Amino acid sequence: MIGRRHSVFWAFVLAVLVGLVPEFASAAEPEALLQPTRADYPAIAGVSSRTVVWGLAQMHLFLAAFVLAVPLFVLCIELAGVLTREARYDDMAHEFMKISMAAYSFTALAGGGLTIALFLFYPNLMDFMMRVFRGQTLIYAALFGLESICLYVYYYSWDALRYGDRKWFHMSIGVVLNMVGLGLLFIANAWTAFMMSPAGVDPSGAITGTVWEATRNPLWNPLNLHRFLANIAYGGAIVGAYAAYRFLSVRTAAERAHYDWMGYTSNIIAVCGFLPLPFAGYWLMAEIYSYSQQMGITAMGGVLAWLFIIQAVLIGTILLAANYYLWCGLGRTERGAHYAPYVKYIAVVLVGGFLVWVTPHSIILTPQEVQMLGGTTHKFLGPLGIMPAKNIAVNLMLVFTFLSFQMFYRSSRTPTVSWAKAGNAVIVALYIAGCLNIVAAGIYGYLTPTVYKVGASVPQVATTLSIIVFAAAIDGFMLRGARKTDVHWGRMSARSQYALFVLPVAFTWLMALMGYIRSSLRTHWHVYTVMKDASPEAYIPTIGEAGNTITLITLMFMALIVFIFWLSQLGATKQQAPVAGSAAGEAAP
Amino acid sequence: MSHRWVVFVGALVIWLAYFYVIDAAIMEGQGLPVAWHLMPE
Amino acid sequence: MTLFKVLAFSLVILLSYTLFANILPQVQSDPPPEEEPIAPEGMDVAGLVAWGETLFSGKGTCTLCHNDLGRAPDILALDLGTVFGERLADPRYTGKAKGLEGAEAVRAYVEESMVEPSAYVVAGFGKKGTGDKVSPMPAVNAAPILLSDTEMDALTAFLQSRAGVDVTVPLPVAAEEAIAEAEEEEEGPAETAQAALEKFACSACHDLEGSEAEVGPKLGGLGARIGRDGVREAILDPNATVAEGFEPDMMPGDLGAQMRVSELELIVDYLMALPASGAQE
Repeated sequence: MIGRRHSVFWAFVLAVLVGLVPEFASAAEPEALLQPTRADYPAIAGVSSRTVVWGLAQMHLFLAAFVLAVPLFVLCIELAGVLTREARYDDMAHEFMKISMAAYSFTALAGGGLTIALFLFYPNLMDFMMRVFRGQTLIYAALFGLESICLYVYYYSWDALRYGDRKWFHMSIGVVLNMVGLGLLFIANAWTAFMMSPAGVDPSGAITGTVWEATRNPLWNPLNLHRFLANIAYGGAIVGAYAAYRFLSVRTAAERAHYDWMGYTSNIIAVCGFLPLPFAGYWLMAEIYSYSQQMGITAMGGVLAWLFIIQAVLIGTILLAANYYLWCGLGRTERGAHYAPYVKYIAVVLVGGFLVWVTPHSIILTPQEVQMLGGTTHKFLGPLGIMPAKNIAVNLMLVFTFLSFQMFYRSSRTPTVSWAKAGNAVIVALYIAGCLNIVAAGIYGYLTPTVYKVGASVPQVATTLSIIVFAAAIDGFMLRGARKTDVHWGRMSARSQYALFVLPVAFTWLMALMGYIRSSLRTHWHVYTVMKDASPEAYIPTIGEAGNTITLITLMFMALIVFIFWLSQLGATKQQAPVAGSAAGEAAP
Repeated sequence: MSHRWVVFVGALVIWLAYFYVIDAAIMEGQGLPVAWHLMPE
Repeated sequence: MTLFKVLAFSLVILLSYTLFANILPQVQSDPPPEEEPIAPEGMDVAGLVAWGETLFSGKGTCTLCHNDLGRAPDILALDLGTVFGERLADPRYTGKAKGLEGAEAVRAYVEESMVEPSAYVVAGFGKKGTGDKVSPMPAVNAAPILLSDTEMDALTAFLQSRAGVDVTVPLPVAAEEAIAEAEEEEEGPAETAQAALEKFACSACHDLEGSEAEVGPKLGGLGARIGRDGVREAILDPNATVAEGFEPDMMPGDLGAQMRVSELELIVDYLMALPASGAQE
């Protein structure tokens, strides 16, 4: 009989082996690359090659992010179910997997379509990429097979491996599934990052390094971290939408309570994944600057600068939606009402921070407008457009989002430890000191040269992280053995569910926007500094064009997701057998 | 002064000291020398 | 019902993002053009400097970093004449311009900065954590900027002119012209008077062969007036006798060094036979 510890151990060993296999050295090709000319790009039926590839790539990314993220938090929830011995965790984890299964085949479909489109429209680029990454592409294909096996086994064995040692074995399958998923993510990221910061090739395109060197290019790990975290946040947002969808459709109080709780959990997952994202994004940006200052400046100070203002709008939407949902959730407990008056202060900080973040530094003005304004930047609002102000805003927004979450968490728990009052004083002092530090570091940025200004953003990030970690830790101790008051799951207004829908909508648009930025950073290169883009569509499209394309893709994805939700619900519907004498039986709800 | 306020002020001082230390350490760690008042050297 | 309201609300949010994206300033970034937009043949110093200036904010992408935001020295705002002096006087400077003076020092320093930016990094502008030893600037003749040698010369000329020194880079010569010159030298001397006149561009200034140029005096009847030796002297030493109403130092004084004796004689023969002005009109 496989003991629980053994199965987890072997799962881990297998996962490590799977992870180590991909990178082996092979012979280098010292010939220079033949740059494609315009004639080398197939023109098919007047179709815009770039838009087709863009659409398929984005759909694949949305679906893949979802399908990779869900098993990550499902495993955690499954574990929580084992540790707390509460069946509701296991049931929710099982239901999340069900949604993921329906999405899986569409992910493969989009991926297949993307591959065909890439080889069809960009044969020279793909030829080069295949020569750089050689055997790794076969590993990738094999991993897909392994992922399918693990996924199907993990899902279909759920009830068969439900308790005791068998449950641990089931979770080991989950570990392998996640390792394989991460392997797929990391390999795909290597190719994407390679196109931005190539390694293992010389400036003429000759392949001089091993596959591992090409994989381990400068932007690989920052991209890995960023996408890993973003996937979790995104997965949480989408299952939250599913919970909202079901919450609004079910009839019984028990089901409403179930889906309300699911929505709450999804929101937590989304927020937990979301909070560290700006830091990962900062690291990615810093690595981009480090690799090529030109690329960095194109992103933040050049053509693409305005996009980060749109990003600010989207992230503001996401934070406001997540917080609004938490505030509505305060209504589930009696104690929650106690915290309700504080909500307006949090709202002020969030909205204020959002407005600061959205303010641009320089605006494009006609000469008359420059004269009226007295310069190219606004006297008072202009300074809000540069980094120190933005960083104050972002960090405070994150701190206060965490505060919303902490308030909600406490609303159903009354501390019983003797030092509760002192503990609260310590936490309040932490928040105040931290916020003061964030503001001070921001003001510092105005008084110091550029290198120090940029450097001051790291202490701000560290402050936010400190607040989160210490506040959570103190609460962890303080709420030990706390008196739990009843949480009336299901007692949520329908309005609150809007927030759970807005979250993935904004997230989806944001991901597509980030993809547009990532691609545009390469300007007119397929592989930056190595392979020029000589196609007719080598230009960076305007934000308006991009926005329109992104909205269309987002709409397609939303339609697909609603279809997937409907499918997973359909799967649970059973038509009742007709009773003798009556017409064909009615469908059971 | 009640016990709670003493704890609050004490904690505030400790947290501010903690943040001062990590600020200085992080700036130095990035290769940006700072003086005792954290302004560039 | 609520589901539809929620979906409609999501659509409204999406449309607001789309609208926002469309009302922001729209910028399309095109890849740089394939051919050099300015033909380099016949370019003079002023033209070269002007070309350098357009490259500075164009293909060279210099202004991406060299501006007032503090990432790199704000070249256009600095008094380059003084600044270059300070750079070269810095004891940390050990590059190619060391020991040079004036325009040549500026040229060497600028060229070195463009292809080997880390040879000398101005204090405070190095990559974070490298102690000003490594420059964040990319080499401009490598990808992704890929400036040609001629374009780098233009930029050097621009910076030399802003520093108030002479422009000492060679003027660009179109490839075809360079080849043509090489070919001509192999061809040998001009065989006919017309070929010789064309070779030395006489009709550019004198009204010959229907050119109607008026920079120099009409040459009809010259031979009859000053004789064969006079014509020869007029070609080889133009400032010895300057025609009335014309300025000295206009005609090239080195034709003697350029011409072969056979070519000179062809031209002298031609001019001796040239009828007087009256008959030409």
